[in-house]
Amino acid sequence: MKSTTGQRAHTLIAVALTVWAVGCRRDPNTAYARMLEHAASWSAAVQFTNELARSGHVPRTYVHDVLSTAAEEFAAVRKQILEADEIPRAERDDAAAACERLASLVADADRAKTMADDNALREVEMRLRETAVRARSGAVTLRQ
Amino acid sequence: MKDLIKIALGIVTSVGGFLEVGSIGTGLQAGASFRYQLLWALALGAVCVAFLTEMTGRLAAVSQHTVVDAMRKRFGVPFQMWPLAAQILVDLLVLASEVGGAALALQLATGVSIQVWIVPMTFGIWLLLWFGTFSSIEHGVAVAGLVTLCFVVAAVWMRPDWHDVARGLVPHRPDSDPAHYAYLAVGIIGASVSPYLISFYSSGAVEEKWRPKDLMPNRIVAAFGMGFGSVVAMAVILVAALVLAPRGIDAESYQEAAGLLSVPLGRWGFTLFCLSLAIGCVGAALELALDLSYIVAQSFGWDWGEDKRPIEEARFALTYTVALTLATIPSLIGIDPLRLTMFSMAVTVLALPIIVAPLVILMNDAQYLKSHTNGVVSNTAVVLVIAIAFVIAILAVPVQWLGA
Repeated sequence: MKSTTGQRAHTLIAVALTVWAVGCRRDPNTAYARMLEHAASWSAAVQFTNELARSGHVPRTYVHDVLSTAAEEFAAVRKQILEADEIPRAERDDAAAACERLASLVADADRAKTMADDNALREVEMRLRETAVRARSGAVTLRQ
Repeated sequence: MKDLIKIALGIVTSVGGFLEVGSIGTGLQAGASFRYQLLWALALGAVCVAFLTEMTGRLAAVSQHTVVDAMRKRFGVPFQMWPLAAQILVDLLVLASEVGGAALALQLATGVSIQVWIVPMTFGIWLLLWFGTFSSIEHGVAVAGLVTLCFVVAAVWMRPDWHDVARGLVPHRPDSDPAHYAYLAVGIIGASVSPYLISFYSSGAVEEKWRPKDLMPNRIVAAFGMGFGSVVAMAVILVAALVLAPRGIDAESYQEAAGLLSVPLGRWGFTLFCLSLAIGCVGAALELALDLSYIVAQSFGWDWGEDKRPIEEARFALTYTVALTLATIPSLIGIDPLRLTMFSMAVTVLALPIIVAPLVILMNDAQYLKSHTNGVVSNTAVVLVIAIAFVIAILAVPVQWLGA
């Protein structure tokens, strides 16, 4: 009797863990969209910092901090995208190139101690956001 | 008059000490990603923590026992080891986030790397603990922490749509990304119902020699202190919703968000943000390091008390010294403080049921609380808090995986 109850409990726990584990499965489209949105967010943050720096509301050291961190983040997202095999090759190359462009825009500005080009940043950001929306809606076909 | 001063000081302490790395980090992300939609999580967390602190304050005032001390005596040392282990883990992780947050505030202000700041910053915290008394630390930090009211000023200045704000106090289905929404809700509740607040509050009550006549001030401080404190944390969400969300900044690092107060407050905004982050984090780090000493000393039955000289209680001082040393490691090896914070909040909610569940028995034990045991309202509240703690603990791992 005891062992039957024990077996039932074990089965119940196993079923619960399986359901829980299945529930934990990450949707690749959402994961891809998040990568793109993360890069887009950093692009927006750099533009915001430019806006504040122009009005003299933040020190130069902070602008440098944002630009250098943003360059690292763009490079990290680019690496993640290139390593994501579930993303179709053309899509992956396109997104990675956008991140590379952002990284080079902010790294160049940081080196030259100037502000990154807002228009160029905004243009790439919009492209990334559009792709993220397509990814979330399932319009980008990813390998599951 | 004395009671009024005690109440005012208690409320100021709660308000000034409410904002720390967890509430700032989760608040920024919640406002940036979901505008006002997660205000309800903060309100829920504040109600839970108000009930819990009132109970543990009552326990201390009536029995002169802290919650950890009473648990050890009531349930025995072997049982106490479980909540102790859970709380040490949580406190260490949150302490590491706090010292990292404080060092990052200095990095933002000076441009000098966090790795350079982390050791002197932690040493400064240690010096305050070594030479300070409980009252000087608690009240000094709380008064300095009033700088965080700048978030309230900024939020009011920016004139949010108060109808939308009120709607945010009621849980709704999110407009998008439910996994991220759940992840932030869990993080906000984890930041509000931090176990260290509960044990620190009761240890403080014993340090300050509360008696049954202090029950009413305790009740008022727990309700209004946590209530007003949560208003400051809500203001962080509002400012992030008004400044970061329209610009599409998701605030996954402090660098992205540090300029947000400059929009309403001009050139003072950046300085006030850095000050709020630094003071909030240093205050919480002091409390966490002390809390680690309190819970370890009380679990093993050592002598304890911040008001005694370190030479009189070497083990107590050694515990916070070791804790602070360990807390520097994540920042030294380059872990981002905000990411560590978000992870710590998930671990906090995982540990919460283990720490909170024994309270329901303790608070109904007349041996400790005499005629002040829990009534129907307090028991309903504590059972609900435990139920919420279990639910979010079950959700913590999947939402960390899916929503982070």
